[in-house]
Amino acid sequence: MSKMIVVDPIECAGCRTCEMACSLVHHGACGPALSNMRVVEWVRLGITVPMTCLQCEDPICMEACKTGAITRNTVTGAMIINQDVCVGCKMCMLVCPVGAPHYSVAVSKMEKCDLCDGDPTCVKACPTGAIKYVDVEDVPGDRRRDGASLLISDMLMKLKEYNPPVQA
Amino acid sequence: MAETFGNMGLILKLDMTSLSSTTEDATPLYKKYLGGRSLNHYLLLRDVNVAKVQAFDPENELIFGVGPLGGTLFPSSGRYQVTFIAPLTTSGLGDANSGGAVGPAIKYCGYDSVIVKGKAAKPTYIVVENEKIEFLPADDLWGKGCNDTTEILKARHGEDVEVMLIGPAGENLCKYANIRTKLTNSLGRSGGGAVMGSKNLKAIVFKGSKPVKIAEPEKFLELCNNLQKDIMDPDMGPIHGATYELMSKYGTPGLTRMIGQTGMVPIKNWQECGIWEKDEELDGPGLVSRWGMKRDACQGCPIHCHSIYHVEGKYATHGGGPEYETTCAFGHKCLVSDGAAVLKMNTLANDFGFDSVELANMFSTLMEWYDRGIIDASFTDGIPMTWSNADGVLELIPKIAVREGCGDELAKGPYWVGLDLGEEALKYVYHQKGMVATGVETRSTIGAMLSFAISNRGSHHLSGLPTAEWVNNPSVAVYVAGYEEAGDIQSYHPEAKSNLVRYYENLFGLPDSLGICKFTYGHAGFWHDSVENMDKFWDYLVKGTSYATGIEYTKKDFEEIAERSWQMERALIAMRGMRRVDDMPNWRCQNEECPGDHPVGPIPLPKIDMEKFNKVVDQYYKLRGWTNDGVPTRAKLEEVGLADLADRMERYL
Repeated sequence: MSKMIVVDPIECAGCRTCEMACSLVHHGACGPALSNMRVVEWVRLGITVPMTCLQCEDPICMEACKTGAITRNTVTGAMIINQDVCVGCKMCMLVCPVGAPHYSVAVSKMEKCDLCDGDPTCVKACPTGAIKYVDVEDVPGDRRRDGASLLISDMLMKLKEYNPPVQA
Repeated sequence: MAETFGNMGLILKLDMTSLSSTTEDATPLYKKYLGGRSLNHYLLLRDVNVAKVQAFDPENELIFGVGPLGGTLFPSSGRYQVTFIAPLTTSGLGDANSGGAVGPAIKYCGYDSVIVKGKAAKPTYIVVENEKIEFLPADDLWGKGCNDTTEILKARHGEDVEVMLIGPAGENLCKYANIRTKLTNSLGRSGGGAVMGSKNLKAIVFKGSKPVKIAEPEKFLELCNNLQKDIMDPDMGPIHGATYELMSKYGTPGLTRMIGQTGMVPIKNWQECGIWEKDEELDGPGLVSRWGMKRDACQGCPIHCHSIYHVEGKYATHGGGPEYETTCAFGHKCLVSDGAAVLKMNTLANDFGFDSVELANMFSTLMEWYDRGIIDASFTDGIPMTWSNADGVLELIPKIAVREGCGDELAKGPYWVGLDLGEEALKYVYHQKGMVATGVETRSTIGAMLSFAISNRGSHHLSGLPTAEWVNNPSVAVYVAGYEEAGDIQSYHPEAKSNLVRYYENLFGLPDSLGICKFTYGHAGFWHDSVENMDKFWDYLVKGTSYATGIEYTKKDFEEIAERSWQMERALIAMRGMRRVDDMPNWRCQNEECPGDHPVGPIPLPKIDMEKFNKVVDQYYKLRGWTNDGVPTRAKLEEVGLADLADRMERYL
């Protein structure tokens, strides 16, 4: 597994274009209930966070699935639900810590993010760049810098004019 | 019912008197009425005796309509429209449109439109969960603000619900109460919140699990992807690119300087106009750089024109928005230059459930009356309504919401308070048909003046403020109106200005009927750089709707639907007694010139030349097929397929 979906709640404007695109590509219809990416909202604060499957290395959904319907796509690393095998028991949904597998009324089976064969629709559709598909190796580096920035935030503020934002 | 695409197939009818619901097959209505606003007109005229019913009668209906593109991947498709008989306007046309996510949520429950009629015996809220409809007691929610109520209902009914509701202003029948959703969105103007309050309806909660089926998913996906790219593409042209840049970073307040170029920004209750020396305190960058936290969008919109703001200190507050309409009305019109105070006013207006435009105009009008000695501090419970008195405004807003002291009178709105005070006071109310204008100095641009004056709902930019006039692009002016004079802001060319305004009135009706945003599709500067872009834009609308619905629409169909919709709206207000005299500009426009500072257009702006203006109105009426008194003719109504309506209308003329 070399790439993963990373979300940035500061950039997310809560437009749910990801939900519309995901459901349209997978079902030919638009609706949050059919989307594998869901935007969680704190209404009063105006904060939104897109949430989807993290494609765990040791997935408890797979462990919980008694029919063997959940397997890994070795090319993309996505955990895939084989709907021909799935019996809709919902165990995967109950054990997942981030609420990724969901029950689809349309097909009476479980569904979850399949990374669109390595070219995720939600990433392409997001107009703000809040959803990214990045190399796993690059994530800790970015996070290190984010974390370090918090530690020296006062200093960064003071030195703001010597440290202008750089366009990549 | 046949399988439907784009649309959901059903109209939900909720009766507050009997606390029961029924449904109606909507499928036969799509081809002729599309959906949203146009379909709302048809339903209101069909179901309600619009000539007689008053706003707070149980027979009045609140009709919420979405449209075939609402809740899909089509960019900016988070909108819905409400239509009703209004308490605020003299024309009685109640009409408002909102973004957010309630429109899509209505469709995910399986409905294209929701009609609410009747009156409950006590405070009630409704939960719509697909086919299951529950009427629940709202005693514990009555009196609560919009934010608290939304949080409670979300906690009570689950994560995946959308809430549409009123605040105390609506409960207490304030004539300019709105219907709210989330931090940033309202069905804003003409008093729908009060009508909802009169029905004892606090909120409707939508919890739907149905998708909007798309007839041609692959084509639709490709079209939506291309359209989103074009909306965000600066290479589409300088006007298009600047509009995206300003709207996406700062929202409508980012347009303040652009609007002020021709003197279009009103200052000091329309006594001055144009560029204000305090603009930087209130324009987008000024607000966003100091208090902006992040961007916020309606469903499906790549423009994210709202800001989430957070203020600490004297005016500590947290909220969403604001719109230019709010910053201009509380700021420029009241001479309040402290951005933090204006944000606080915005939060309060939203939480109490007020139309912030009418509310702020109540204050700017009070300030002018106070300045002229028409009222003194005793009129406002001892608070002197001096210019810039932000603390006075903040003290009075809650009193209006609960109608305490002077709040009881002020809850009627500037026009009706002016009427109570007498002729001199009424001169300074900058209104049409009882509704005060949005942030547009109409003496600056004659097309805008025409649009605001003849607007069926009252004075506002959303009925047909002609974009091609203020962007002043001659090729687009010719494209939309046939004459270059259409783009000349001070021209009274009868044909040019009539064609221009009619074009935009019809154009703006389409997004409202499709469930998409008129800012993206006609009202803001998008697409207005060239004729090619305008053609492209029409193509997206027509093809997008056809791919979504599987119903073959052409541009001509859309033009006919928009014309029919406008004729229905006009017939409605004609039945309620509106005539040519009601289409005339307000006293200030006719009698005063307007000083100001602006790079384009004459200074001062001259008063409206009524002889020339009347010639434009004559031509406009002719173009619409109306009598010289502004009433649709039978021949015209028959021509657009509304013979039944002609019969009914004639009974009430």
